Amino acid sequence: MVEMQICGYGCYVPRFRIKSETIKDVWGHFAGKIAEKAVMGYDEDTCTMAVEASKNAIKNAGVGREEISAIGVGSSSPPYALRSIAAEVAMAIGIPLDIRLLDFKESEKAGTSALLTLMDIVASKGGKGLVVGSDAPKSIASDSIENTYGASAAALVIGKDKGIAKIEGATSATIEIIADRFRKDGSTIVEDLGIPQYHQIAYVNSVQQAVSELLKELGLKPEDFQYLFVQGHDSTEPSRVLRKIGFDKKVLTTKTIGVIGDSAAASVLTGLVGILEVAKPGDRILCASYGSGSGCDAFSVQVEKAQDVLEDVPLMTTYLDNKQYIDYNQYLKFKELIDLE
Amino acid sequence: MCAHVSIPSYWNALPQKYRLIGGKCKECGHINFPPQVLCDKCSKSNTLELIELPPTGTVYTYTIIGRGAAPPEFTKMQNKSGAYAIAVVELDNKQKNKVNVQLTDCDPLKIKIGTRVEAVFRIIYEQEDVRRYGLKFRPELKNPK
Repeated sequence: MVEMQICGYGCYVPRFRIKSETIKDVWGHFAGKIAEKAVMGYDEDTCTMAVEASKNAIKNAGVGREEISAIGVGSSSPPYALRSIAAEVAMAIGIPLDIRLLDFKESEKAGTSALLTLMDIVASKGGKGLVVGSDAPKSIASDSIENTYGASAAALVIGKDKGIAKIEGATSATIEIIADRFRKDGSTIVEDLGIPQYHQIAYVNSVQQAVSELLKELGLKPEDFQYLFVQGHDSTEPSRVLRKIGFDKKVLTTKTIGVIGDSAAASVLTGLVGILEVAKPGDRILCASYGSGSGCDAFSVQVEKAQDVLEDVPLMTTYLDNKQYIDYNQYLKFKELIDLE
Repeated sequence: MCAHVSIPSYWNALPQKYRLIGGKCKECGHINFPPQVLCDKCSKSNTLELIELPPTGTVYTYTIIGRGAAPPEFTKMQNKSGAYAIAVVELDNKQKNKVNVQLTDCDPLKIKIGTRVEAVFRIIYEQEDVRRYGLKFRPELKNPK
């Protein structure tokens, strides 16, 4: 594999938060463990979040817009089933439109699909790739799978040089399973069959397979990694796979899922940005996504130097501190869990 | 913010709505926003150079649109947002071009003349099932020093 560098990163977290306690007060229970989660405002969607994260990543990378040769956006909750977010991102930023624009939409691992695909495109075409994950999945108000669904976006600028971190390798694994979460054609609502065991089998096995393959390919052991981020529906789910993939609880991670919620196709890129903001040169980070259906993309990142902090490009910690709590009625409106027409 | 902007009109205005593209007169140097066919100041035609204006500025003046007062294409949005503020923002370029915008991510009652703001890409409204995106302004969000 051609080694790919991360030249810059950025993220976006909407300002509105709801506490898990607020939801628990309404329904009497809360499925999953998070403290609070981010909710998009009345004028936001996964396209607008993708634009802000992308602008941040490009400014941080210090690359010219004309250097971008491809944009790949992953989202399981795009505003349109048929209309490109990548094209909208390019127009909003002012990137010349004669480049590769790709949209990945049908999975919670669409963000890492975008990353893996753009790594190949940039390796063969050159220039810089803009990889974006932006997601805000939803179910219906009474379904417990809605409880942890949050919102965020994150973006990476990748290229063959001028990196602050390198992506050492990537692997994928798919497990055949027919009954995890799904969103039917024409629907905006994620559903499942209410049998969590199916999900757990698929989750643990696909992550385990992709991670062990990655470690084998790179000749690395779990103790070579300082940080680990595994996508999950809540902040405790990744711990189910820890032991199976040879990691112990001492490995560091980031609290993003616990305060943003499950942002599906944006989850891994958001987690990676959260870690990159605090990791030190030489640190290794292992990331693994999970998408229903079901599969995992795993990749390893080694930090080379810290990204310069620009005053006007908010860090994830700045976005997380800039919050306003909403009540349950406002939550129903913002997420359009009630009819507003 | 007129009641109906046709798709072709909106389309033609995308550069200014998405990226604050203005027109600098090659004759007198005056920056026109939005770009005009004729320079607002010297009226010489076909002499505008397109330039991107800075996405930051200060609130020059503002007003609050209370519930029920928004034009019909904003009704659904206002059902979610409640009252919101619109403002004339003075941009940070030398000429201090003024733009008419909506403010977002803020309590409208806390806006003041002189509040520092920055452009963010948001949904403006949806019409004919087409989501119209563009720039709004929010109070500047900076990393702590």
